[in-house]
Amino acid sequence: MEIRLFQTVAALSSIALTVIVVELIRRRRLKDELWLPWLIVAIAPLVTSLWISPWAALARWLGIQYEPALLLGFAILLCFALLLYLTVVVSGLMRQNLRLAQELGILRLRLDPAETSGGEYATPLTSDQSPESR
Amino acid sequence: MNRSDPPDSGLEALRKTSAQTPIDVLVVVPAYNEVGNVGRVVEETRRCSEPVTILVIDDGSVDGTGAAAAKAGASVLQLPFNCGIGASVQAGLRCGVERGCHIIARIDGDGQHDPAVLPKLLAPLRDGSADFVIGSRYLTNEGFQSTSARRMGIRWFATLLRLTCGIRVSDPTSGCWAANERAAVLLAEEYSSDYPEVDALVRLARSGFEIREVPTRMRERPSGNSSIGRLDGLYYMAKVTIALLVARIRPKV
Repeated sequence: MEIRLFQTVAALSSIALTVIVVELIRRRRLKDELWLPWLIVAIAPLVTSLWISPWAALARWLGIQYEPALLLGFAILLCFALLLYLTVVVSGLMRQNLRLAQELGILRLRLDPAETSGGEYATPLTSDQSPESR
Repeated sequence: MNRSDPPDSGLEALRKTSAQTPIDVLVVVPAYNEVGNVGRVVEETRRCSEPVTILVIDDGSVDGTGAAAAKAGASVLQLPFNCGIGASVQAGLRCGVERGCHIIARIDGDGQHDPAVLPKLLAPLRDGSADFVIGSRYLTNEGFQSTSARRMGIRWFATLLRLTCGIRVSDPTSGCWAANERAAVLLAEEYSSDYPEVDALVRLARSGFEIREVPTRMRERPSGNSSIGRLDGLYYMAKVTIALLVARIRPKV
């Protein structure tokens, strides 16, 4: 199998990215749920650049004149999927973050209202007082 | 991989174990940098003829809103940073549900709602004819009516709500409302973050809650600026419209 220059460049870039991702995993800079998609994104170009014939066949079957365009489209789709996944993760974090802030406020109020912003005027949250008694 | 939140049934459990005296009516007052208004809102609410407990949610204000509210005699729930109006109201709802409140009402801390409406808001909840009561600006068209562009937007939401959920409300974006315990539990579990009113109505309607409106008067903000700027108007319209349609197709919580 003849390996052309662009394939070598693509493969080397992919290997470099893989090494970076693996190093980040090793140093625990990437959290366990999040490293798998990145590993896939890093390794995918290596496979696709060395193993071209199935892609070329698929491109021809789809009627794509310029075969690498299929790979480019595939790469963009992969990036899109990764971004979507990260947005889902961030949404979950935002939700949890707000929940924590609410719980913190509720617990502070329950624990000692005088230490929250109310200071000396703080009123503990107790049952209703009639307008006359206040 | 488990990324989902803990089940919200924890709320029910907390409610049952809560040792405090139950509160009958909790008035939640969300406030963000409203030092000029919140004290008056609290004082007016305290003067209202119904006995109520006032809980001001200080949404990470930097101008001493919390202290002003406490000085006026309210309990203050201090959020550690600015969480937005929806999360503030939800914090109040959660707090109220945990304490076993029978009714939770909301009056905004900017002074636009007249707390004198509270008895009218509570009456349909007390006699069991409604689960959720909205104070509407547009039933009698009294008081401050906001700009014509906003009124058009509000009419648009009202139409959408009628078509998608079959409920008739004249003021779907009103932040002046009261909920009975059942409705409050539903809203406490899930309350949308930044423009929550319309979304809440969709969910209440879908869960079969009875929604009622009573007339109220809106006032112009006594001081400070609204959190919604003019340019945000169109964005708000689009966002709430999409949120409303999404809420319609979401599975029930």
